[in-house]
Amino acid sequence: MKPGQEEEIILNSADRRIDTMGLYCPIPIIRTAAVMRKMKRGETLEVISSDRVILVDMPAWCRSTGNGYLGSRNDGEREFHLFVRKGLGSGTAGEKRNRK
Amino acid sequence: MTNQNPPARIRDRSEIKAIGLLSGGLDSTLAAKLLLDQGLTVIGLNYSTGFCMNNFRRALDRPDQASHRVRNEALRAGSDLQFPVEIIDVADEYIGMVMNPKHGYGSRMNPCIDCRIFMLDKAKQYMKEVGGHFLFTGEVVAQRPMSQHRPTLRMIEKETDLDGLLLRPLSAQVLPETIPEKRGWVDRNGLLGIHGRGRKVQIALAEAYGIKEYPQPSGGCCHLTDETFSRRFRDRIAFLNGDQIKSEDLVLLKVGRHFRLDDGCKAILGRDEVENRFMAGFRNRYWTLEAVEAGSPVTLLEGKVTDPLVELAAAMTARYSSHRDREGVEILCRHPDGSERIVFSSPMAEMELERYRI
Repeated sequence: MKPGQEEEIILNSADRRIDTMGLYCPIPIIRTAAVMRKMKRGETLEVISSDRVILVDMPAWCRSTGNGYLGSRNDGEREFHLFVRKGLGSGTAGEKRNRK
Repeated sequence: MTNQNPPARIRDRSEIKAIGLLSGGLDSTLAAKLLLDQGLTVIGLNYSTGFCMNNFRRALDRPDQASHRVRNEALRAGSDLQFPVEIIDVADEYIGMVMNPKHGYGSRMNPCIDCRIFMLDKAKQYMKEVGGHFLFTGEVVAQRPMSQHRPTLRMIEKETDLDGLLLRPLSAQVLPETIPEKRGWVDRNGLLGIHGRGRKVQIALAEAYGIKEYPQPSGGCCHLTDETFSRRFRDRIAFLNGDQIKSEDLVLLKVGRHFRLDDGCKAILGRDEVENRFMAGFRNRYWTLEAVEAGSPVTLLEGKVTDPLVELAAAMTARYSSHRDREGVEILCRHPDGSERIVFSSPMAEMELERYRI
């Protein structure tokens, strides 16, 4: 596998995908968190959004919660595909609630 | 449930879980930092109320708006300081509180005391769910006129039944000792005694901690403290005509020029291309009007629409079009079902326009 090839594959195929086009901040992040709680460590999620500022918020959310931000690609001017990998988890209430 | 009985001797403070209200402003960021430095596990909660100006600026998406100026600051704080932040949508419940605040409003439609109680109640519930030990906020004694006076801080604690379990790390040394301090979960000496409106101490601390990316204090990010929004909100409540206020109503209160046409209908006129684009997204739900082959606002009619009201709104649309100096202007009026008709309208005179302005 060539350098960068793994990332390229991930950016084109995630384990799960959510479409948040047209939804205002912070709903896309809230939905991302909700889906990630149900995923297993190492699985990847694709988030589709029309909010360009999510390109700033999503890496911050990943860093804050211990998940991995893999990158993004644009499909047109207002369609952003962001890729995140479930990490160790953050121990937030959502994680706890999910385990109950 | 709330964990109020950790080991008598704390060997490792990371066993102690502190849950904080986190706006991402400097004060709440510093409060989190003080606890992180003592080795506690910190979780930040950021409540989305539907009244955040930043979120609405993002929805408008002005091309010249730099992304970092409208980012979620709580996430930024969590990212910088490496602690988890959870954003929680409380918009529907929050409206109910705003409509009927027990402690009344501030100078606008801002129910600051009830807002604090609302969020602390929510955070208390969260604390129980995750086995947290106590709550913290970035409040500073006497920093704000309504909600941060010492007696008010005390009253809020009592109303939320958080007696002793609510720590304000920035002002802890000028407040009575809390349970976390008494039990040694937190070292009181490592907390601060800031008091009053000045921000020099916080700014110096931010510099010492290397916290650079915090937003400048600007009187808050809440639409409820905004005079124009509050006026429109009061009008909307006064003319609800038995309906419930909806989140979509709130979105429209934040955009355009507003004119009340009668008790059941108002017109909203976009002020520029960005607002027009935003309002055009509501075409399938509301009547919309635009001047033909002219620079024109998108006008949206909210409420019960009659033919005379369409003509009234057409005159307003003509007034704000680039053809305002003409005798008559062609206005395209579009029903939400997609059917259209043209109205030929004289631009409304300024004096008359003011009669309708909200």
